Amino acid sequence: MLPDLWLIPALPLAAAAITAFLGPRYLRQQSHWPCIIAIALSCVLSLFVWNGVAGMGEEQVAVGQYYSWFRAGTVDIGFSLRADALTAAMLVTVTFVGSWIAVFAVGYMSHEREHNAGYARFFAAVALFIFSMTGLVLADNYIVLYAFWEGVGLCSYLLVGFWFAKPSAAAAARKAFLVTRLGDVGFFIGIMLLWSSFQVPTASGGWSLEFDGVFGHAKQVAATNPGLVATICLLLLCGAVGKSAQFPLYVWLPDAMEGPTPVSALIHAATMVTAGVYLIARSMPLFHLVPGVLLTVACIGAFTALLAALIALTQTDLKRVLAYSTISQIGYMFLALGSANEASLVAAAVIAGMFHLITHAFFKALLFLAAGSVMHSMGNVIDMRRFSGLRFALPTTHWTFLCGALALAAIPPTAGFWSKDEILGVTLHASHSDVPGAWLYVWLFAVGLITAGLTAFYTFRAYFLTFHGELKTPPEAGEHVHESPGVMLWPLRVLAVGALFLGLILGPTHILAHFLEVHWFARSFPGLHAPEGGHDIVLMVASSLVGLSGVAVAWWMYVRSPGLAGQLANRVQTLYQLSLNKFYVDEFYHALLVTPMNMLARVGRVFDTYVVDSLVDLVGHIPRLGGQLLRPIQNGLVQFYALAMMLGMTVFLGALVLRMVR
Amino acid sequence: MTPLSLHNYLIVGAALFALGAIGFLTRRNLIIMFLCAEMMLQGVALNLVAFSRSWGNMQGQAFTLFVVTVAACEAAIALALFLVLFRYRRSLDVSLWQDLREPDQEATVDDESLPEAPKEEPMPRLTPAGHEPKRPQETSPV
Amino acid sequence: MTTPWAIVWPLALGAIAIYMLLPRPKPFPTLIGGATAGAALLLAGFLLIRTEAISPENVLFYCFSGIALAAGGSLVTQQKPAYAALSFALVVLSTCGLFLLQAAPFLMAATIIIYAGAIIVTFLFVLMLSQQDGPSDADDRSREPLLSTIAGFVLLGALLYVLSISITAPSVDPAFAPFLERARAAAKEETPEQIASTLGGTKFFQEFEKAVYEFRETINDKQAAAGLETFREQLEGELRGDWQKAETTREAAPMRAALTKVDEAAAQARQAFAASAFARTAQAMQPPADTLPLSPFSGPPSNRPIARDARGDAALPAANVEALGRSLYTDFLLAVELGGTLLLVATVGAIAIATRHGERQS
Repeated sequence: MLPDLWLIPALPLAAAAITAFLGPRYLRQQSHWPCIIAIALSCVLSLFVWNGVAGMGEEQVAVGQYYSWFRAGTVDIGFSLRADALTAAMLVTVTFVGSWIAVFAVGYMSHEREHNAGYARFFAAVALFIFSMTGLVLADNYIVLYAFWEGVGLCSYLLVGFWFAKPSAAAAARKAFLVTRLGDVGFFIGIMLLWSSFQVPTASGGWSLEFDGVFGHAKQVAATNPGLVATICLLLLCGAVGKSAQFPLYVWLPDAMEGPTPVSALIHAATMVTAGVYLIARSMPLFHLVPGVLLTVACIGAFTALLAALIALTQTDLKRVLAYSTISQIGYMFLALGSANEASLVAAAVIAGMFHLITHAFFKALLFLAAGSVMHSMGNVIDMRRFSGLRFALPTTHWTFLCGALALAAIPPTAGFWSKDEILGVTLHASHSDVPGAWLYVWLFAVGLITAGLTAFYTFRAYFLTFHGELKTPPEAGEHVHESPGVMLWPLRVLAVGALFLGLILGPTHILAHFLEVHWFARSFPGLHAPEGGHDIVLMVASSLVGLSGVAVAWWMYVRSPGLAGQLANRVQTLYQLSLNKFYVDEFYHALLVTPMNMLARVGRVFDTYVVDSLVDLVGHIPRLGGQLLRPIQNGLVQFYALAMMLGMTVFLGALVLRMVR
Repeated sequence: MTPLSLHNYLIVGAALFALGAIGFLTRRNLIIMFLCAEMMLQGVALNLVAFSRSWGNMQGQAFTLFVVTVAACEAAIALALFLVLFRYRRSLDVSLWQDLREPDQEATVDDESLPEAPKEEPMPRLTPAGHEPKRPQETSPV
Repeated sequence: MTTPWAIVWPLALGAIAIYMLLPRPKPFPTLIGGATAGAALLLAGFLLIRTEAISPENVLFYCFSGIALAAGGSLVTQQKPAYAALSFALVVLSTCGLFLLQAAPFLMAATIIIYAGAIIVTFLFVLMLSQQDGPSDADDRSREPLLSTIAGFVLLGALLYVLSISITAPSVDPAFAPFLERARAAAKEETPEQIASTLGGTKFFQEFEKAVYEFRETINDKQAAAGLETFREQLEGELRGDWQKAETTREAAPMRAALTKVDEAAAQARQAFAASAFARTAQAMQPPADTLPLSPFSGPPSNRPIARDARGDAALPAANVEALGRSLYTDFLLAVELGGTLLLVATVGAIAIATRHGERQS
């Protein structure tokens, strides 16, 4: 049995409303309860959804149509939700990770508790975010999806700018909003193009954007007009690139670390940034019709993965390292999805991407929360040069971080290993296909492998720098460094277990693969057969060797002989500077886009002040001028008033008489 | 002929009315303004009486009587008001009372100055009653 | 008065005279102004006022109205307030003379007593109280003399114009009536010869046409005159032709039909004339025909025909003052009571206003 789908977003929405309206005055320091309870209930419902979807037959899907949202002319948008395997997998991930992060936030935000309004605002926004995210993955048509897509963007803005009094946080929030908006514009144009060119009829005579209808038409349209489908897919990709922080729109994500760490864990690592991956997976019936676009997706993913990994090598801010690793890992997911260039590979590619999405959600949330725990103990200091050797001071944080780092470095048998292995496997398979440009996938595979080694290196660099070496704490941390409270540690422990064993449970057993194949793939690609996936032993050994060597090099450079890193950096000063300054992409954007825009804005302001405003002022001045002209009449002389009356009467009488004479 | 006779009176009434209106608009002495208003009323009264005669009934005359009544009331109130106004400004010039103009409006003043009035001979003064008038002292030549 | 534009000349003269005579710091010569005013009065008397014969009544009317207007002009233009008050007394007196000419002796007496006896004297007292230092500057100046004069005289012109169009014959009936009666009488005769003799033959049409032409000449309105002109042409051509044709047949029926046609055409012309704006304006001067009678106490009600004496004047009750009293205390009783109350309130108000509050305290 499936529960009512609308309950899943509705519960967090209700929690958000309650917290927002009652929190500051009545709930005060208990403002977290509605949020946690609602997300936990949603999580339970999501598990029921998973169970219900698993119980359905092949090619079945649960769609709940609730009401007609708007209808005008040929626009006919219903508020409808659907549940299939993709949705169920996303829902469980989002709500499960989300509820533990909410629990963690109770401890992390403890110093905000004194400021009641801020505390309530935080949890209201988190609940609102979960509402938007669950709505996004439950949406049954592109317009509803887009609405929730913008909803998560809004929540991201609210939470990144949570400490809005801090200029850097406000700037980061603005940057995140504007950069993702750049992608969203493309996304919306894509939706409109989809709507106007596909013209999928609905019962009421309008054109629908329901997934089933659109995908049913896709093959037909692609046969007659492949360029159109390619354009639509590129525009959808535009939105995905923005939201999922891929090159060239990734610059907002590192800055978004200005938000509270639970927010970074929830939104900018585990859930929201993967919305782009979900969008492409959901739209795969469109994308797989145009292999060229898929190659673009793969190239963007691989390039972003490598670029972000290279930048992460030299960063000293723990959260920034993790942020770049997030960008890099989502690049992997894009690489996986882009490898579906052949019909037989679609299932494997999407499964690999979704698998990595789920495992990444766990271990990246864990890493961020652990980093948050470190930050909490270090008095909000996050620069790795200012602390070290914390493994005994923060034992639980230390070992949970280690679990997450192992998973991120893809050391077998942790979760990251299995999912990353599948991605590399599917990329290698893609290179064997006979689609034009398939040879490129060999290079993309190589990039993926190199990035895996880099990932292992920078992850353990961060780990060793933070937890090994001499004990060093910044003065902000206080005299006695203490471990975080239990409310923060228990989420770490739970997520660590997930990071360690989730891959083992879902990967080799093919649970997830089977689930997606039966309850999503079969319906979305009728007539296509998903080949049995197998694990390539050679590849597994190779990728684990690469990961282990990355760890070893990190150990050599930062534990065995700590001076080595500095010498190396001096040796290749140019490269080091490039990486440290993030390849100057921000500066490049600033010069290319921000400065001209600012100048344009300045010109606009001048225009507004001197042209538009003067016009408005002019309109205001006209009555005043009229008043000024009439004012002398009000001279206070009784006789003058009487004369005015008399003259008026005379004019009327004269007019009457003249009319009579004619 | 009756209509012509009626019209003659109506013409005179209209002329009195118009003259009174002109006087009310131009003259600045409160009392003259009032008299002009009364002259306008006279014009109207003449009108009413003429119609009364023309139609052979008493309604016009009765109405004229009410006009005279109201004019009398008006005169009483106006006189009282003139006295009060005069007490404030020591003048009956209506142009002195122009304070209800727009706040930033300059007061209307007479720009043309009057020619010098010829000096009048001082009036002979009577000695106050009950006092003996001063006389040139008579000196006896003797 | 032949054209409505004739009134413009005395009005313009009067306006110039008043403008010249109004007090100002550098006055025009009073003699020229006075002469202009006199000329205007004479011209107006010549152009506007019409009387048939020199009778004592008419001479008195000229005297009283001339004095009233001259005194009115003097009141408006007089620099010295005391003289102005005396001019006003003259206006009141001559108006009262006009009242007397219009058979209103009680009003004459009442107005003299109230105005000349009470109001003017009180005003003179106030003047003497307030202007012990001689005339004030304000009396030597006028406010907006040009605009006010123009406004006043344009108003007067409009009034006079409306009066002038109501003086000239407002109805076609007096002109048409004898001819139509003749035609009807003729139609009632038995034999064709009798019909022709009663009517007067073709001569009837010539006479009728002449009467219509004369009547049309008195109308100062193109629209109203146009309808009459059509009727005149009909009489001259079509209707007379019909009659002549019928006369040659020597039978009664076609002759009667021709006469009915004349009747119908006359009715049409009458209706067209009555419908013109000119005639409707003129009608306003006639006693209303469809209002309810107030009561018989104030003389004959307006919706009855006016009883006229031998000279054509409306007949008045013999005891004029008594009739006025009866009217006041029957038809206008409530108004009289209200008037009395008003006088009382005014008395109280005048006393309250004029009391020196500040001085009593000190």
